[in-house]
Amino acid sequence: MVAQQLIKAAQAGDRDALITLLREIETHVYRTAYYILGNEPDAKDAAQEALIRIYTKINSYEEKAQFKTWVQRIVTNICIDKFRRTKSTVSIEEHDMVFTSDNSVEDEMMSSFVAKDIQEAIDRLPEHHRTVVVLRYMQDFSYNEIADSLDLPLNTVKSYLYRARQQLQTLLRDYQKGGVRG
Amino acid sequence: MNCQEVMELMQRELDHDLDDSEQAAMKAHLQQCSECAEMFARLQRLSQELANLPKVTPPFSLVDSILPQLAEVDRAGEGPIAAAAVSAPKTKHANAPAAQLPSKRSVRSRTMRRLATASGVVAAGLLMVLVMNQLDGGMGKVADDTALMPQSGGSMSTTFSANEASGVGESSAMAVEKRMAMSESAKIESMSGEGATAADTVVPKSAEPQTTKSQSPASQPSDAMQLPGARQPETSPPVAAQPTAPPSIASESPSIQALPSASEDSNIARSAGVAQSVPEIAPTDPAAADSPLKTDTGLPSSVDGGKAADQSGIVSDGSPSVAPNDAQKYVNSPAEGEESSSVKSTNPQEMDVADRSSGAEDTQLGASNTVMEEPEMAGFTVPSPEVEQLVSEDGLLVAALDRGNRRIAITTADSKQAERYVSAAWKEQQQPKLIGWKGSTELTYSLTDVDGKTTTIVIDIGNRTETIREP
Repeated sequence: MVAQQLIKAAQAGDRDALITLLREIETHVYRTAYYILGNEPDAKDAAQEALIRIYTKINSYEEKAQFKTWVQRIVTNICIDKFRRTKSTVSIEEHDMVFTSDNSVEDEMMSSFVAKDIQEAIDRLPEHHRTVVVLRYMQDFSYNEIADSLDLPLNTVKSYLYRARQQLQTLLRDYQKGGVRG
Repeated sequence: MNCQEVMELMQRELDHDLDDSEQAAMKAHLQQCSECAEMFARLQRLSQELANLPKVTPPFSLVDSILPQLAEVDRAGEGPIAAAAVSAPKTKHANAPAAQLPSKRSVRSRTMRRLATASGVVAAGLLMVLVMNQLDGGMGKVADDTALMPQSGGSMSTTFSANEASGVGESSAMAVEKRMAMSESAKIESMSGEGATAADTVVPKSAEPQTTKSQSPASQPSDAMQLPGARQPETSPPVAAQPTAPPSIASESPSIQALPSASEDSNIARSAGVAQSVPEIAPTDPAAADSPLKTDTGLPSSVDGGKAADQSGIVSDGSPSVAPNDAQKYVNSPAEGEESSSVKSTNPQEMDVADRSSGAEDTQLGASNTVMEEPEMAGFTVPSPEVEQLVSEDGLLVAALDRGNRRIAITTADSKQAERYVSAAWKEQQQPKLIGWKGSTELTYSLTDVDGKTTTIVIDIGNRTETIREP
């Protein structure tokens, strides 16, 4: 996703390269933050913090890791910290599930309704399960990439993901039976 | 195969992780087990929905929104841009001192052994300390001073990271070594014989780098010889040392011992740095070239007399730190050190002040010095004279370089001098320059790193913002 050359230049102190690099990853960073934190303001804060950290720490990135997993590690860590600090005070009802999606057709209503349920279900997952799901589906990461990003053993990643899907499936079935939202 | 096992296969199938035989096995089971088939259908739908979640994008460019903060990171020297400027790209300067610590420690103990053998000379040096102490208020002072040392140490570690603090310690270790060297040059002019016994009592303390402070000015020539060793450690410590200096100075105004030593250390290191790591400068600049000679002869140089006074003024203001990388000071610094020594011999009080203040400055200089080690920076020479103040076009506001605080203060130009804006602090090694006003709303200034990289910054007085102007 990001050229090694650009990373090299950024690491060598080329500020423009570094800024370009940040622009290339900002959407990925934001998207992860959005789905882990479940709302736009927190996602913006976390993504900005992550970008600043990436900017500051670019020299600590080593080529042996994939850049995208290094980036996602930074953003997920920030999100988990943030989540732990703020989550306890936020109830499900307070989440503002507005999606800034470009396609504004009618079926968007439908899909966003489903998306809302899913998003809410995701929010109810334990933080690591949620993070694994987000990396799997929002970043299209493989098991290994998720394991690298989260510094978790491969088997743990799998079991988190499987359990998360099972749990989501249960939650959504409840919703579809006319459950929580009424 | 039971349903539990099939569950795992189904999950893996969602991630396209099954090989053909596993897929066949799963399908076979699903055909027989409606419960699992239903579960698989639900999971597949879920997985599809997850994959179809809106690809949200930030409502505005997050990178644009953090540009000011990134500029701040650059200016604070925390980012890679600044790091690249200050040291080699991959060096984590924060870690460097810690890593070097052990070796320096050994240097230090070696130094001490040498110190012991050279005890005669050292005693002379100590004598000087003593004499000064006596002049400064008697023997009790020495004890006071040592008592103060831990304090100043403590304040360092609270204010700075452990690494940095240790860096400071190292630089003082280096100082011991340098003092050793200096004792050979035996510049200890003002020493009288009576001090001998006293010197003995002080000896244990002399082991502590801090006590030895008074001799430093004499040491330039030998410092230069020590430099190869000395330079390395200097790299990061000065940065930490500089900020610590002012507080301790403020806290223990009458007694000099604890802090000045550190400052001297860097003083020495710095002058050494000037002499050696940037050979070009020393020869070309008369002051620098001369200073060792002066020190050797012990002749007080009247040249810089005024400077000592300036510095003492600074100290009494409580803001001893002077703008760091003023190359002029660089070049002058050996002379300064020497001059403070001459002051010493005559007036202890004043000397202390001069010593300290020069110390504060020195640390900063030391910091810049290290940077100069880099080959491409060797060409760094005396900058053009700077504008310290700049009045706005309409004459309403005046911007002044506040080198003590490394900020630009913008005040009204009238007699009230009401403060309108204070810029963010620049880094120690940076060289500020006032460039110009646009009306009385925008002030442009630049910060030049030791490597010559210049950042131009525009202060918008009305909005109270600072923006880095893209080149």
